[in-house]
Amino acid sequence: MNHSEPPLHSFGDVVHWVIEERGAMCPSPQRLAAYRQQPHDKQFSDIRYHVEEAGCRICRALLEALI
Amino acid sequence: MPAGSPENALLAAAFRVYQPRLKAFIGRAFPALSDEADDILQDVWEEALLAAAAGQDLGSGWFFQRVRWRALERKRPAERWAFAQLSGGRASGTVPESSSSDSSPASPAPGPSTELAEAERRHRQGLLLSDVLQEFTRWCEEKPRRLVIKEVYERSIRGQQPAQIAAATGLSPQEVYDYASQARKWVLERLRRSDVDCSVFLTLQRIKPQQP
Repeated sequence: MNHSEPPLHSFGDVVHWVIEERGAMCPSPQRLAAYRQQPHDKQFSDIRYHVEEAGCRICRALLEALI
Repeated sequence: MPAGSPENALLAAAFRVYQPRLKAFIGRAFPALSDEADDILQDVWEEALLAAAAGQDLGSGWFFQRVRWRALERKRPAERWAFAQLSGGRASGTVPESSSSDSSPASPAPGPSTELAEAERRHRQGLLLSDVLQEFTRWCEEKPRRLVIKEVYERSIRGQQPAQIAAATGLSPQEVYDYASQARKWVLERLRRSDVDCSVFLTLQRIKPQQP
């Protein structure tokens, strides 16, 4: 058990936590890989938001690692 | 593939090359798991031996995906723990007042069985919430026309207002409302089917899209 995880105090925290820490809204690995090839393609608008604007740490790290 | 075979030696050599990058990936993507990086890599290595023996082609992408998956799985207990904390905080009255999201009047202190039921409910809720959102994301990815639903919903649950979403996406306020409603409906319907006491349902009910 990792006790360094922050406690959740509200429902907002709960939703935020499952998105940020459990990758609950991360794109599939296949789509993330396709986005890496064509980051400006219209079909990847949702991933652009997820990665570039929302700044998903998990996806960003994966993209950096796979370069 | 027998242990010590030439194929295993090649795989081990490749893994040694990937290892620093895999470790760095864990540190960046899952900083809370940095201390467990070696354990994760060991698990992935054992999985790689089995996969290679089964004839799978293992490139660096395979290793990164498996590390990612195993790191996310290691967060499951943390998720349970976090929900238990939330439940315990409520039971003992230590949750900050601002976190109280319902306006029901104060009730007498719950008994042990009530606390246990609450802890179990929270436990199930935590697992279910991440799983359902992942399922929702995969559902959206099945059809290109659903991707906009996912984007609107993610923007919404990350706190953007409908007007902001409309401005950012080029959608009309009505479209934003419709897509967010569609997403909520999907998620809530999915929860209704598996969330016996509707606890997650009630949680997400609080994240309502606003009428334009």
